[in-house]
Amino acid sequence: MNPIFECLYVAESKELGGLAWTGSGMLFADLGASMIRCFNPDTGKTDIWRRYTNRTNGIAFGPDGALYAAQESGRRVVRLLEDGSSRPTCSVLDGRYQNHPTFVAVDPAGSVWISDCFSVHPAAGPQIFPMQDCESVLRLRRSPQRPAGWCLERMVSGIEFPRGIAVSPAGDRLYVASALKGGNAGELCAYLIDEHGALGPKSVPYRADTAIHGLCVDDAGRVLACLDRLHGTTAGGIAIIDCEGAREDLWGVPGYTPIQCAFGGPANDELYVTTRQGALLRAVGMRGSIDARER
Amino acid sequence: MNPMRATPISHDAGSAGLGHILAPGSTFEIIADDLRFGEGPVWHRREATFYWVDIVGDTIWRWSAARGRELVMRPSGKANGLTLDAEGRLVAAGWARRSIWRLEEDGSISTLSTHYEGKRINSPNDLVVKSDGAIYFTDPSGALNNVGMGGDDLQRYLDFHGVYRLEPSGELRLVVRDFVYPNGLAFSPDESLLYVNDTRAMLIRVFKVREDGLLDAGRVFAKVDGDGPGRPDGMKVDVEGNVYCTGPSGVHIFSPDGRWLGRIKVPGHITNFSFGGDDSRDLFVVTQTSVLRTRLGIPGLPVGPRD
Repeated sequence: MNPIFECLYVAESKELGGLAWTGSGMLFADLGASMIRCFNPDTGKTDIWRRYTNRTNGIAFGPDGALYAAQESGRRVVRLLEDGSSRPTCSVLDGRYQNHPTFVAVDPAGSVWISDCFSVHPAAGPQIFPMQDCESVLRLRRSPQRPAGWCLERMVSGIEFPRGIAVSPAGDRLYVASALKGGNAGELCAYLIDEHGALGPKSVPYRADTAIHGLCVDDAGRVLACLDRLHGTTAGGIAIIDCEGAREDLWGVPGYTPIQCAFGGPANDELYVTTRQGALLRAVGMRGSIDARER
Repeated sequence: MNPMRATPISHDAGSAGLGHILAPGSTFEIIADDLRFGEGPVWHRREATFYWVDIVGDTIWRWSAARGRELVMRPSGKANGLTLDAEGRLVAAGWARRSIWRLEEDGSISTLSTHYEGKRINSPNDLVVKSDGAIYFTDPSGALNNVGMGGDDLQRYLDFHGVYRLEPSGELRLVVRDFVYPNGLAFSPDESLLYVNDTRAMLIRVFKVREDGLLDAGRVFAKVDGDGPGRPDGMKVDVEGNVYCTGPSGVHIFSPDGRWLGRIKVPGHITNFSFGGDDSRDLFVVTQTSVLRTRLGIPGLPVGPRD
């Protein structure tokens, strides 16, 4: 049954992206305004959580309590700390700065997985730093022996326009959305992560005849994939795909193009969606259809 | 030391011309051409030495005819603008360090300013020392956003890009807060006027300096137009009060009443420049990748010790 999405907020910038639940509110990236906003479900109000975020898109909390933020304009992932500061990590790979990080996911071990794309938006400052040779999935890990204390590795190379990224709850599987054919097709790519952190071969549990944007994973390990549009319509949608690749459901999001989705709410039974139209949407009462704890 | 090479200079001129400033047939000597992002030029008269920075290279360099090129400091906290105080000490706009700091004779660093009203300042870009010892500096947020230029904290805390006066006592006073992106700044010969340019608005504003060091509301002095790489960034004034400002394709020169006199064309993407030499008639130009030198017909205003 298609959930009912309510519109909670519309950003003037019309450019929303990443989502992260704080425990009491839903953070969402307002790229155009270079802000992270927070929707409080208790009050129904949206406030500014962090200003001057340099086109931050993907956001995810790490086990250290930091919010990892993919700054598209800064070509880096930074750690937004509770004291209000923004700390650098490592953004150089093979002697070059990474491309434009889009979305991030943090696995149970604290590694940060990054979809690293080319972008039509120029980076901030002088355009003097060459891009990487290809789009990639990167992994950022603590590395005390490195000068910056961080290590940035390329884990998947040559992937076309990687967008959404998610890790299974057990940390043993990586999912990446890839937009193909200029956004007219999409693949959900999956990789097993072994106990040493190495990736297995790519599998493609789901293909779409539209671009796939953001991803999230529910407690049962099913992937929710934001689809640019449903087949034969102009409406966007969300596909629900189980671990083995079967599509369990397909929801329409009429009037909107979903960009990212994430669970939140006190009972983790609210699905939040950001859209290309600048709206923050929410579907409540998802328990039973999504939340594994109902099973 | 790089072998000196010469490259011809072209220019274009307004109605009043550039003839008394740039002689026909002038050339640029190439002093350095291996920079990642050159900036911060200043001439030290006592030492007969030219200093500059490589922001991305995180280095302060110097050059003299006697000793050639030498490393001064690395890492430099990605220092940006440099100038000299009345004692001849190097004072830096700490771009990534988010401070104004001074290099002491023993090589140590004294931090002069880091916060305004309890908040960490953005990323000081350029600075000038007034004869009363106060330091005026611009504080856009570029280092917090730009690729490859940040420091240990990339968060912007202030809602404006200010121009400040740092008193000799250490008190920091905001003197202008309505710039889009303030960058280069320079005093008129008698210090009654302060010119400040705006990189994004592509213009120069001028302010009357009050006795207490604060500024009036100011007005637009000139717009900096043209094609090619370069924007309002470095800015200096000569002894006749002409205002020199980087801009598209080179150094744009304006008379004291704001008329465009012309442009010295510079190869590459100019970022800043400095007068220098014994008679202050050398013009050292810094681009993203190079340091060049030529001669001018009018001395520039020197900085640093008055002796």
